[in-house]
Amino acid sequence: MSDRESHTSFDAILASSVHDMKNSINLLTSSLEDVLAQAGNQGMPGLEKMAQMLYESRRVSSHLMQLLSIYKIDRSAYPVEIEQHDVAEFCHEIILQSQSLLRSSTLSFDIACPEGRYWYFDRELVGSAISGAINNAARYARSQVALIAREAEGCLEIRVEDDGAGYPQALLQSGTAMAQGVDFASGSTGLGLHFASRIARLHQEKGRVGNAFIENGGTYGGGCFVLKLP
Amino acid sequence: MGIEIFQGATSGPDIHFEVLKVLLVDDFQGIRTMLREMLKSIGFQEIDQATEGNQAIAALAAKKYDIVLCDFNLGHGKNGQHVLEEAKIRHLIRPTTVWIMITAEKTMDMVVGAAEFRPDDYLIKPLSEGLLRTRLEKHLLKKEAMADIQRLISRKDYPAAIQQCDAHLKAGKGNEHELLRLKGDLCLQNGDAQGARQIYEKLLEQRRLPWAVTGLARLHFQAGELQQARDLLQEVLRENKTYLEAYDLLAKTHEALGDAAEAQQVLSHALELSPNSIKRQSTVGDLAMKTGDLETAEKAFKKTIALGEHSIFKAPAAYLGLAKVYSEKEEPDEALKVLGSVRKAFDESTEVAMQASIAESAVFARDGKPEQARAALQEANALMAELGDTSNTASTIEMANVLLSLGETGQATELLQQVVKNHHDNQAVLDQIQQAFDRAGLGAEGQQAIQASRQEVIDINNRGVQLARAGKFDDALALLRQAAQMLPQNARIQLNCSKLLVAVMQQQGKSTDLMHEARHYIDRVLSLNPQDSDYQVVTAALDKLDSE
Repeated sequence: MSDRESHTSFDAILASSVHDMKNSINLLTSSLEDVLAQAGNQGMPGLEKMAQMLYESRRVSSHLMQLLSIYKIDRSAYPVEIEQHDVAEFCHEIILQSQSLLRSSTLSFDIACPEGRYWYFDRELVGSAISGAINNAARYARSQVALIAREAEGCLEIRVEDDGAGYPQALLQSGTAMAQGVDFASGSTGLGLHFASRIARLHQEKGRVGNAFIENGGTYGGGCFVLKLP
Repeated sequence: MGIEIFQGATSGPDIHFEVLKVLLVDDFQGIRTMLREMLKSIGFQEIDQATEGNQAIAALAAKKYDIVLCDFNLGHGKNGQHVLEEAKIRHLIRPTTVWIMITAEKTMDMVVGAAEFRPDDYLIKPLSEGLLRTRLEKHLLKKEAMADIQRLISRKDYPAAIQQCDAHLKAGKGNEHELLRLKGDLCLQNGDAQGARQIYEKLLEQRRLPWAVTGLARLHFQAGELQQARDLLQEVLRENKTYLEAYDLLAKTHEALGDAAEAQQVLSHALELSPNSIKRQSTVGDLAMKTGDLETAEKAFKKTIALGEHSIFKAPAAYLGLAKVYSEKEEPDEALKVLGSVRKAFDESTEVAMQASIAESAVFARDGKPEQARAALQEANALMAELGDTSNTASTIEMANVLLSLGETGQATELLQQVVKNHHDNQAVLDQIQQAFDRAGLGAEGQQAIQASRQEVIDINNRGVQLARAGKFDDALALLRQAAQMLPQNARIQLNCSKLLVAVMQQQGKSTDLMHEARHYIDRVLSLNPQDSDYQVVTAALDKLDSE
């Protein structure tokens, strides 16, 4: 087998392994969600640990999905579908998907989005980026997380804000992280942000390109994840 | 509004899930159970299940469902997309049926690019009850809201459907861009290029939507402005590399520009993205034959045949194409094998048996076996007689080709002249016939024969007009009626008959019989050429007469 052929077949093995792992993790996630739902507010010991387990498994699932997507996007093998969606509907669905996570935590969750407003974007890809950001925010928030969608400078700005300690300086400075390599020590959101940037850039209109970045501040003065779509 | 869709389930603020019929299709027991539980929890009561494609089709044939939840992957055999396509083609589901495809991930395979065969939504695993409920509610309400427009579309009453779109737009009922997109499609269907153009251009001022640009390209294509169509489509594809509809139209445009090689390139690119599209593979096969690229043609036809195993779009064309490839590669035995396969695959079709016989005769002729070629042609003739006037033009020309290669010039010319008379105003067909004569070294004679036959038909039409103008309606009718009978595939003559009948009735008053006859001719026009729009003027006149 030539170098090129073996490279290609490893790619394929990688892709199908990731797919396999994703299925496995999804089973794990839904089992955890079931247990947490049953436990309810009974103050069962270990509940907090389970919530943390849920956070970690969602994180792995999210990263696997994002890896697969980037792999396919790079090969023009992902059916990017930039269609019109109701922004409020989209936001509510994101919350729905994060419901068990949010319920099992003590955080209060705010949502602010325009009603009856449509925007063009790929629902699955953007959804994945925002879900990942929410998962992250829930981990680092003290007591509040907010999902905010609004129009700014002709773009749709989707923000996930928390009232935690905010992002460390090093992460803020490294831009989209991936170019410089991921800082595993800090458990950074390198991949999450890189993915969000990639899919934001898939959205272009009249010469303007989408982007994603992190900053500190926002409603609570904590960490903010921002995705802008033209 | 009249008919209650969803049996009243969606009238009012709460949806009555309990009266709606759901079909679940998934090969994995675990998923079926989970979905069943979720649906019950939401309030559904009538939930049927199928574990694979054929079972799903059987269920859909037995009952009209309101909702179908179908996994894209169904193990061996048909996948969810196959089931959806078959269900739509065979009218096993209503336009109001909500179809949701469940999948582990979105792949190019799913989004094969034909808008009319898309599911209403995709749900990515892992599934959650909340999301399932939200999406079902959304789609049920949407279908309810669009039901009035959908009804008109089902009746092919495009002008009324367009009016309804406008009504919805005015009332702010629904998604504006979605309605405009539908309106644009309807205008295209209705032959209203101006209307469609206005919609696309207005939208493009707001946002560079690929489907609007493609819509404009389609308008250019229809108007014969091929270079503009090409340029626009190339732009769209630069900006949207996975937009399959644009590839299809671009390939058609290149072909119309006479550049079959480029068309083939374009579609091959689309196939790299989505190799399991049976229609695209088949088209590439045809194009490759045109450009003489036998290797590609062979691969494409073979793939088409393989894909046909589970698809409602399975067709004999790929088998016939593959047989031709083998014949040209001087592999007559392989060719005959393929023709044996197509007979088996379509054993109930006289038409396919006839096409196979003609193809066999061509193989024998090329292989230097004139006796067997003639025998096969005799078989074909008998079958063609059985089929009557529903035989297809391509087959007749093929037959003529074989006859010419066997030196039977007289017979061949007769056949070809009949085709000319049935399609005297169809340049593509006339070109094919000229090519047949050219290939046999009879270019000049061919041109004369074609011209003579064309003129015959033109003369009939002209005489009919003259007689009508002179008020000799009976003579005009006799002439055109006879022509319509002799040339059942000539759409123009059928149309002229109906026009004449309108003129007669406008003069002499309407008659039930003549009305009936006129509408019959229009039905023939539409069955010959579904894209025809000339008939509308006549239909309008008939409706007017009817109402008086």
